[in-house]
Amino acid sequence: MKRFMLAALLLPLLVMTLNAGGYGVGDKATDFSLKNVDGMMVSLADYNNAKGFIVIFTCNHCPYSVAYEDRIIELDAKFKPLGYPVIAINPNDPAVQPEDSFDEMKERAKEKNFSFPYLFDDGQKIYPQYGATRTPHVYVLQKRGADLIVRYIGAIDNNHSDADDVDEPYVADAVSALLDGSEPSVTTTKAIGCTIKKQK
Amino acid sequence: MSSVSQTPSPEERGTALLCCNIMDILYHFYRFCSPRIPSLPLAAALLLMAALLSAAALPMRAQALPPPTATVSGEGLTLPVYEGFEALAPLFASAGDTTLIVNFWATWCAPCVEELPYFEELTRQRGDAPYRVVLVNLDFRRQLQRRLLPFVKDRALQSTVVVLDDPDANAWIDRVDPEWSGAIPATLVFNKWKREFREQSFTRDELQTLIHSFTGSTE
Repeated sequence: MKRFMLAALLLPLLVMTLNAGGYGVGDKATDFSLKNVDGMMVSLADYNNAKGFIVIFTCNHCPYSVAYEDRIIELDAKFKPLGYPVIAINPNDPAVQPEDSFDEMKERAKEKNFSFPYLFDDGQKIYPQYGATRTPHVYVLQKRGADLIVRYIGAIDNNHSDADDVDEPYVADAVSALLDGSEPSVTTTKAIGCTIKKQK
Repeated sequence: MSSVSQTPSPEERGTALLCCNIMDILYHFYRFCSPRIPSLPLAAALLLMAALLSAAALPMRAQALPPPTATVSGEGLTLPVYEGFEALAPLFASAGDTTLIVNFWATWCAPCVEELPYFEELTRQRGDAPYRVVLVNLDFRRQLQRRLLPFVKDRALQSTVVVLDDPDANAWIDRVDPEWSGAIPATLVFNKWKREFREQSFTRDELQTLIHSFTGSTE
């Protein structure tokens, strides 16, 4: 009984520690069910034919996110047909950042003609599980059986200010490697971005 | 900056003028002009104030920034620009007696702008305290003229503002601190004894407490 109680005390602690930093490369990612700008709920489980996903935490207001919008559209155009669709998620609390409200998301998705789902992390439950800290923040997931394995975490490429000056397209390289059946050579990168907006 | 000690005789004027002491020069200027211009005491007072202000700026110069690779000018301001982290890197290797408070920010970053007044307050209340605030701006290159310079002017920022223009952030974020994910605002505080990195927005009290733990002399 004592042992059980000790375990019962320690288990939540262990889980909290594991969750504190979000996912690392090699971890299993959880699926979610979030509302898309078209009003439909979207889960990764809906994509039977996908080999994996390019999950991007992004938003309307952040200039870094805006700078990457066209490149996100390109990623989807290139990799959706190959089995890695883009799933964009807005993690911000619109009470803190009104420009990132669901209505504004719909507006932006329409203006830019997003070819991918743009989901709202209503209640901000999903981004902390992943460990996203900024926008944009990318997680490349690979399907393995019923599991989704995190294979890359970080930036889209190595030049936010000019797509023409990019010489390391991190996400495209990682997904191409996975499609070739090899390991991505770069698995984590960092980039300057906007903090995810939440109530203090 | 020492002030004038003796009153030189008229013959000594020539040699005294050669010496670089501002107060000496002011004194001789006063002696030279006073019979000729009626409103000289006022002019002298103004000059004295200017001299004192430049003397106050001396400790800033003593803690020199690394040489910038470019500058951006407009709105009557000129700011140093570091094209590439390498150029700014010596700043982070310069841990000394003076505490450096390095804040990474951008004009488009709302939480950064919100906490800027607290950093400005540190600069204004500094007095003789051995610390210095450096605001490292991360605005996009094409927005420096249009956004950054008017912002610095409108807010009359007193802290040192420098621009870091290096879009390959993955190559330098870890060099500031491995704990940094890249989200801004972010602040590094260090001297030769102590170092703290925070990826967070500060309240006024949080910032004052942090700096106090370094200098023991704020507030």
